[in-house]
Amino acid sequence: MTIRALERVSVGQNGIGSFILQCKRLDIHYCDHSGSSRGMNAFIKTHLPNFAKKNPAVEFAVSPRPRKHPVMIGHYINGRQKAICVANMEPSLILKKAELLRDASGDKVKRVNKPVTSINESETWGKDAISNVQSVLALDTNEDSPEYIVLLLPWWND
Amino acid sequence: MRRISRFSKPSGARLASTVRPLAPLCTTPRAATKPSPSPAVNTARFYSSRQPDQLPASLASGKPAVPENVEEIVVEDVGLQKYTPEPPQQRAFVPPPAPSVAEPADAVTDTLYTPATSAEGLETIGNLKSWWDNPAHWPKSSNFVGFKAKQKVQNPVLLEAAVRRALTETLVMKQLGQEDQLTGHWGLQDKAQHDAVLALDVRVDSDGNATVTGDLQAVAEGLVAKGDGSSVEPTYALPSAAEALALKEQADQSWKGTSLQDARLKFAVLKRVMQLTGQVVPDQKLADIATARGLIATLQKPPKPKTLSKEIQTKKPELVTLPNVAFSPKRVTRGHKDQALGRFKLIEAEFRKRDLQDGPLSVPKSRERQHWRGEA
Repeated sequence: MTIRALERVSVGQNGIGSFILQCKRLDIHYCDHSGSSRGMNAFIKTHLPNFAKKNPAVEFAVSPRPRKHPVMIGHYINGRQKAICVANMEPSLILKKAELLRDASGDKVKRVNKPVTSINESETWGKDAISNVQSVLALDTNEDSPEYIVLLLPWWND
Repeated sequence: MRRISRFSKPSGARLASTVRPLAPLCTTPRAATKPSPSPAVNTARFYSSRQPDQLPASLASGKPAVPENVEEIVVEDVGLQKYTPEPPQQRAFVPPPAPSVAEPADAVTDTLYTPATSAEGLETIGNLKSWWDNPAHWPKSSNFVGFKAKQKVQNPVLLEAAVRRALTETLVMKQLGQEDQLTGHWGLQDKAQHDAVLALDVRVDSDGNATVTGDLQAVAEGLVAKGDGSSVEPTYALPSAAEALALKEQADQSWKGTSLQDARLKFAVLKRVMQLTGQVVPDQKLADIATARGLIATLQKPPKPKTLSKEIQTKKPELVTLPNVAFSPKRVTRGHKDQALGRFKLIEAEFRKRDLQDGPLSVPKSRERQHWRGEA
């Protein structure tokens, strides 16, 4: 009889118990007269009613911005914003941009160049760990005890 | 082939008096003559700094400097009449009185007169400084009165009634042979005459030619009599919407097939419609209007909304009613955001506490304009 390890059923993410949309608000700006807003004006008339109905968790604020290119600005719950200029775009393309803003997390775009990305943050490189070590260093400078520091930072000697 | 003979280049001094304008259109045409010699050497205007005594011999002798090869300008008698401008009917303003000058002290014959030595006690008669600022000097009766109706009619039933009336009146004028009245000014009539116009029977044949039957003479007299510069106020332009609807249901609709290919007829109808409804058909749509039906369709087409927000309010109200969609008809500014957060009133309160701001923070546009002009 072989011993089998317990399989993980699920990975806790986002709101763990429920999904929380990161985009809380979408500002939609257009111009009544500029040609670059033609696609945006058509998007507001044709696609926006359905899109807003399907996304009740997102607040849509539509307002004109005369003599400026049309812009969509997503506001996220982490306090950040993401803006996309949709000048001269077709309504279908603008819909895709709206979906992109809705699905975005609001984080800065990070480069992913490793095959495996850990979901959990590394403890060793965590902010608290570094700040703790620096405080210990500051405390031990007068006592002149380098062995003690080596014990605290074992990965430096590997 | 050159049509105009070549003139010699201007050299040295040239008398401006020899340059004669073409015969003015407003004067009686003259017979074909050579330009008369002009003795006005002293009043001549020179194009160079040379003195008159240095004139060429041909000019100094008083002979006109007309080249020999210039053909005589022939003005044909085309029946033009002498134009005499009409005196202005009414001034738009009250002009200040003519200045009067007191006679000099030496010339006064009154023995009791003693010249004043100071301004004290003298009567002040004022000046013209505030004359033009006085509204009493700009009478309202002289204000411009436009031809078309002030209120633009948008109701489709009323527009149809107006077209019917305009078309019937135009056809009456044409049928009576008063085609010169098609471009004239027709007065607005009372309700009885309006009903008399609509009571006329309009028959249209297969080619679109219409014939009107009824008391045409009375209608024509009513139109022309009140339009000839009389100051009768417009009394009745259009019926009410309910009356117009009733008239529409009673009347035969075949009159809409009346052809408007005749440019004079079309002009007269459009002019009258403009006077009755305030609707002006743009030039680019004129060529497409061939019948009265086409004209009604053009007039009844609602105007394009000027802004997207207006269009959405009228055509897509479901978007405005969604709970998670906020529509702003105007640009959202920083002040609006502050007001939405409740920050604006706090800022105002803090200003008030420090005596830095009296009243609301927002400044009306008129105040800004005054500030730019240096008035405030």
